[in-house]
Amino acid sequence: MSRIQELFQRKKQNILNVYCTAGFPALNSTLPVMKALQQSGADMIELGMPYSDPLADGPVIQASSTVALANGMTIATLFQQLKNFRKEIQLPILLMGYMNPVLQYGFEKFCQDAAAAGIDGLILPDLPMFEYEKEYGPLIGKYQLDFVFLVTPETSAERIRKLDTLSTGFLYAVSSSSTTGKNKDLTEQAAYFDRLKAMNLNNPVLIGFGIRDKESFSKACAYANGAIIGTAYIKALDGAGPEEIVSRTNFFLNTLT
Amino acid sequence: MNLVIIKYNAGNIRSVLYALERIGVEALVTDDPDIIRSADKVIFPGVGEASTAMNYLRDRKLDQLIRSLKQPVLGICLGLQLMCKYSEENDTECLGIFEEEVRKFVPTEDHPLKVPQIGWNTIYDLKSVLFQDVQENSYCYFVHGYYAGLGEDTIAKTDYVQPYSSGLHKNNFYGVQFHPEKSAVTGEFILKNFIQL
Repeated sequence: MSRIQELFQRKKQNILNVYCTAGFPALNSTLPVMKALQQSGADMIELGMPYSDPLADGPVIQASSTVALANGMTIATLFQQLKNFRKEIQLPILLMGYMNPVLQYGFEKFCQDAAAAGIDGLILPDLPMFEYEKEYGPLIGKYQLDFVFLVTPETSAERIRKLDTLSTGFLYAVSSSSTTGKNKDLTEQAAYFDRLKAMNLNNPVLIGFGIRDKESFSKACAYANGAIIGTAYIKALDGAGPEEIVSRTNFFLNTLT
Repeated sequence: MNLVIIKYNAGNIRSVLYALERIGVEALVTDDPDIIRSADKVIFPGVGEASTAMNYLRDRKLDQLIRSLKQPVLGICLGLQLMCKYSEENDTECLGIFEEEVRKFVPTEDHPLKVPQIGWNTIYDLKSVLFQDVQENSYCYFVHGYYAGLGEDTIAKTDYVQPYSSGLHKNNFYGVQFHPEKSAVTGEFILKNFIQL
């Protein structure tokens, strides 16, 4: 059983998955940020691999990626940084990013290096279902990485079923068809979350996009196994010096519970 | 309200339809001249290349049709560029509704930016009811390698390498370079404002 699946076995409610951008705020912040998240009570980390063209990110995460790229972050550098991270970090870690840089790195090599580093799963929002089934899914499976698909309020029930069958780990329920960092009142999406709940899916569900504080986090947790927070944490980290990473992370995570 | 989206060989139609659905508006996608002519509002979307799109429009006489429309028309992205006079993209004569010309982004030493621009950028100097309730420097989502210069039809500006027109307006014709259908709340306001013109 993977670390992600183990987590969901152990904890069924209020799972807090926090997004951070590798190489932000400084190139060598990646590990200190992950350690701070572990110490401050995150259950899981979604580690963003910065890419120049934000396809599913809002302005805040776009800006953090721009900073990380300017800091010199690349996939190769990230794997260098992750070489021994499992000595210190036990949380399940997912790499999130876009296909372009992953394909440039080499898809199989990417899966191999991710697995060797101790990464547990992947979120690649622009890897479509068809290509996943045909070409990339088997490679991801070969290296025993979990793969998480996204569903939106506009995804048909039939397609949700299919994505649920293909996903391992959990299903990422996008709270609305937009991008990250949008201040959405989750009550609007209640019907959609109820619909997901009623489907009795195989995978646990985490809700993301628009989760930013205690109120939205607990609302999301009422409908799903937990939630993913990104933009609000990146804002909290913005401009943090090395000595501030722990305190800011601690402070931010404390505001959520 | 009878809203029509012009169907042609350059499209980003599905996400426009979804965005309209979110604000409670149904639209018909068609290239039928009579239906387009009788619509209350027309959206001219587009993601593609200027010369192939113009050839396609000319072959079907949709170029004349678009120019002759009297109801509010909103061009999005390539739609805005095709409504300009000329595009540097494959040296293309366009519809000539707006006086502005379309040029390729050329990064400079001071602005070593990637082309195309893909992502969020801000819009400012907003000068139209199209931007009612939209704050100065709001973020919108852009995907483009060519831009319309500044001119008398400019109703919104954006900086990328240099300032350019991210919004144009003349008579009943409106154009936005960004994708309102991909621009979260700001985009929703702009689509709503267009619907209410």
